[in-house]
Amino acid sequence: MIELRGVSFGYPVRRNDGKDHQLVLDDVSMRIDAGSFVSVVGPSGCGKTTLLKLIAGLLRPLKGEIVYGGSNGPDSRPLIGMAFQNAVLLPWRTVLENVIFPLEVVKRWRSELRRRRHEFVGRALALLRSVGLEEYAHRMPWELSGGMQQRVSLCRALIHEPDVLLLDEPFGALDMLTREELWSVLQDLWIERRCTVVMVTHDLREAVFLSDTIYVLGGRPATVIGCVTVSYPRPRPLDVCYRDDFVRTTRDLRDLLERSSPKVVT
Amino acid sequence: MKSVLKNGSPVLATLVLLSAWEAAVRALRVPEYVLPGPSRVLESLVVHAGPIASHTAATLEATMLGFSLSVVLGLTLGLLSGLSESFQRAIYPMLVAFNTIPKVAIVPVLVIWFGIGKVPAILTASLISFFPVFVNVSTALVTIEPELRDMLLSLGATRAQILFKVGLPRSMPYFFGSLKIASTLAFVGAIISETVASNEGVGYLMIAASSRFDVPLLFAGLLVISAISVVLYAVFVLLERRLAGWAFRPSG
Repeated sequence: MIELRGVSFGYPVRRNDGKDHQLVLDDVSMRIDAGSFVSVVGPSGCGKTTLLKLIAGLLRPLKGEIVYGGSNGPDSRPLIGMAFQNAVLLPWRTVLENVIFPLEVVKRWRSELRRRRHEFVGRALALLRSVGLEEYAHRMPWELSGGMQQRVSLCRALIHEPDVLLLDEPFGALDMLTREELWSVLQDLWIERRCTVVMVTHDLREAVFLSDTIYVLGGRPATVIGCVTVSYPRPRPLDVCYRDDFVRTTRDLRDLLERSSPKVVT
Repeated sequence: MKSVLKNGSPVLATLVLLSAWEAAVRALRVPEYVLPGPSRVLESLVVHAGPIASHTAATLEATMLGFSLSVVLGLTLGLLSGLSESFQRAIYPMLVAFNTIPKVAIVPVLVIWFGIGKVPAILTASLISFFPVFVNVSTALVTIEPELRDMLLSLGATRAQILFKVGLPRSMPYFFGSLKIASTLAFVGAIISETVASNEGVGYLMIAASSRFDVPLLFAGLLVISAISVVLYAVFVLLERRLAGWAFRPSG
């Protein structure tokens, strides 16, 4: 479980009135149950990515604390996998070598890489098979389409068996059909391993389709203005998006967001 | 036919230029001590083949030694400033200032320190050519995608790991690009130094030829220099294709 307790964060700015931080997040509290799929939605630029970086431990909160699994010691930080809107594959490595990459870095696996290389390659190939890309294992990243690259990026985020998977608008740059296809791919991967997922997105349908819990961020600086639980059974078929209650949930979220962000007058 | 034209076009262009040159020199009866035709230059090249070869070897040696030095220097400074932003901020203005100094002005200093001969040529070659290597390598290292850096840090990667796993491989196309520039610059540096302060090398040969009004020999020297630069350039293109081939996607 990951718990955010009154987390505030701001980026340093220089000002005359003595304020030295531009607050981005203010008093954010969240409870992310182990093995659950949590989404964070909010208007663009509201600090969603900053929130992910805080959870990943790349940034420290100015106020409040983030507690992992009930303790907040320095070694309690879980193993993390990340994927972004941009697949950022390493262009000099084949698809397979890209997927294996985290195993060469994470301490727990690095020491065993040489001895268990064969096994690790098998694991990477199995992952690639599960996203339908096994035959592309020895291709170079640029030979793949955007959607395929994003699948590889998901495999790379999962190969080292992270406790927490952090996704930053992973399907934001894809066309709608590819995006919906990858929702199912991601859902299947998650059902198989049940790691904790925190996904940042601005696609409300995406959030409702995939998540157990959705936190809504709003305001400036942003804070949690709503929390919605979605309890359709898994695996969810894509048809679920056309059910009345699905549409209603999406619309409620939209209203909530719209109310929180004052309209820009032009 | 199309491919013949495509591959042969550099040769064709060169031949057209040389023929026009030859024709102009003959038609206008330009004196040899002003501008010799290509045929005269070639003749001089053959007649003086022995001395030209030995002087060329000397220049090549100074160039390659100086170039190797510049690669080591540029790579080291580039890596350090890619690793540490404060280091980069500290040395960048100094290096830019230094790079602006005409290297001819440095040769006399080097002569005072090391005497006439090979050492000033080697040092001038390296001083003139390390800057592009430095700039390219450090730029490649500081422009790593922020997402990639975040991912690496979240995996618990150390600075050294980020450098060796991502920074260095990523900088290879930039590095080889800079080598193409640096190798030709090193040549220029070595020759500058030889023209001012040396008893050997193509630069010295050309100065000697010019003091005797042996303009065909002067041009023969220029020809040799250009030819070697092209070969050197080609070598680095080949190396680049082998070691950073991933950066070049087949088009079409």
